[in-house]
Amino acid sequence: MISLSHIYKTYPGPIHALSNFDLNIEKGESVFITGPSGSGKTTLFRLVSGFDRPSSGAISVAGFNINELTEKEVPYFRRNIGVVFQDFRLLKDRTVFENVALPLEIKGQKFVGIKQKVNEMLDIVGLTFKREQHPEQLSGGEQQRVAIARALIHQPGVLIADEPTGNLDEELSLGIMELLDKVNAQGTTVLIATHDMDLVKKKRRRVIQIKSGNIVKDSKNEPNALG
Amino acid sequence: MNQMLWANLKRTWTHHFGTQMTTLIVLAASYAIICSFLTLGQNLRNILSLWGDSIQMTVFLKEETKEDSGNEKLTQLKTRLQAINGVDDVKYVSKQEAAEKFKMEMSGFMPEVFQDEEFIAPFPSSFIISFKDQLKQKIDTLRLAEIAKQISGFEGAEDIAYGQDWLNNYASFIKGINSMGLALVLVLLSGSVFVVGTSIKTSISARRDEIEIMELVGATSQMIRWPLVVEGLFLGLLASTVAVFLTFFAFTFVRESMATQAFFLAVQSQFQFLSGLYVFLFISTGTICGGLSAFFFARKLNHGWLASQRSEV
Repeated sequence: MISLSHIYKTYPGPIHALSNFDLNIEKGESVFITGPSGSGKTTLFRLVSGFDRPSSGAISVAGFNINELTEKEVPYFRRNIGVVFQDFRLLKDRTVFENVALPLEIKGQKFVGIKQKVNEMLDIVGLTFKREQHPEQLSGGEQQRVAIARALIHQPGVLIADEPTGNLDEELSLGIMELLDKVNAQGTTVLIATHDMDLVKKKRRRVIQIKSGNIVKDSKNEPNALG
Repeated sequence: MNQMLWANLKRTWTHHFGTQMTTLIVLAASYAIICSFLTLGQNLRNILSLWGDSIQMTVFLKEETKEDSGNEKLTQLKTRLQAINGVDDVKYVSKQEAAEKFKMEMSGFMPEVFQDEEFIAPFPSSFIISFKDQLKQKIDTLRLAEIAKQISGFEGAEDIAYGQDWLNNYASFIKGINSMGLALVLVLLSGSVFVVGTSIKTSISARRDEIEIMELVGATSQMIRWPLVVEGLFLGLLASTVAVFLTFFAFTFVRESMATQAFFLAVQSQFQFLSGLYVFLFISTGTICGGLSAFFFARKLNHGWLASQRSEV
């Protein structure tokens, strides 16, 4: 589902964010990417979500060869993945319903179908009664649930989350993780970048640890690997 | 797509009302200046074209061209003059008529001379040629010079006068006014394009996050740009309509004031606001200008893919 082969990403400086990076994530897997700040997690996240492209190497996500994507093809690639950010990235001038409906509107779906799907999704994330509220009227956890609902509304094969619990307390973080588990249980491949090791330890998932742009540990390769 | 465009427009005006109103005020002011100049220019041209209506040519006749109606030479010359392209009417003025006219016009200045019964004005008989509107409105001095040259070769014509120097100066003045007006309108129009563009740029900056989120969930650049172009079109339409109303009210006020203070000028009939067609063209141009400038500035949009190309080593 996600494949990175001999990836190098260098920023002006030069700063080598990723060096000869290889990674394979199978369909239906749920994977934690961990590492300290500056280790390359965000760069990896940006590459996999099509917000950036590698200096060299090959990336394939949900059947799309990222290296060969033209500027015009990028939006169509993004319609096949779901992305969640630490800072939620919700449209403040739109209601919860409108935020979640956005990917379907962009896909050109009709309002009747959109309404039904959004209501179902809001039910799943437990925000049915907040549908007419604006993001600023919600708590951090609720905002993140809206962001997850938006990322999943178009039923992507891959969900990529960058520090999804970074702005939340422990209880809310666990709630979000349970929601992501639910999504994964339905067959969606989930890739979560986080530096919250306590959270990682509580979940029995494949964990990939990055440092200085390289994988230093992959639980899949360990004898008692989980996930 | 259409639903999205209208919903976006409504949202923009609801949530960014302050920015939109500021832009509208600045833009309407720019358009009102242009509209005022157009109105002023049109009225100036109308007044100047009234002067143009008095353009005529006098063909003074040789002594041997006698004044009786049976004179074959005179009839022949009149027929030839009437046959010239652009000539509307040819009127014969005898020596006596010329003298009477001279007396009437000059009696106020030199009454003692004109009270003299034996005074004979030294004017030859002539043909007064008036021209068709097309030639007068154009103030075609070259064509007038051609006609004068042509007539000078006719048998019986002594001299030709049509106020050549005055006419040339007048034509240059009209040309200058037209060129200045056009240049001014172009400058102001470019300024208004810049104003709309800057406002769209500000709007883009204020909504950078929104645009990034739209890109994030798979919006194409057209989906992001078109709402901005629609915003530009709407701003242009609204601003040009407001400008027309403002200018109309200002024009009416000035005309009414002038009518009271300078009633002898027949202000009401001579000073006119832009015609319906001009108003339509003005509003259309204002709307298109708004849309075009938004399109031009929104073309520079892109954060995701191109941003990576910029940051690459």
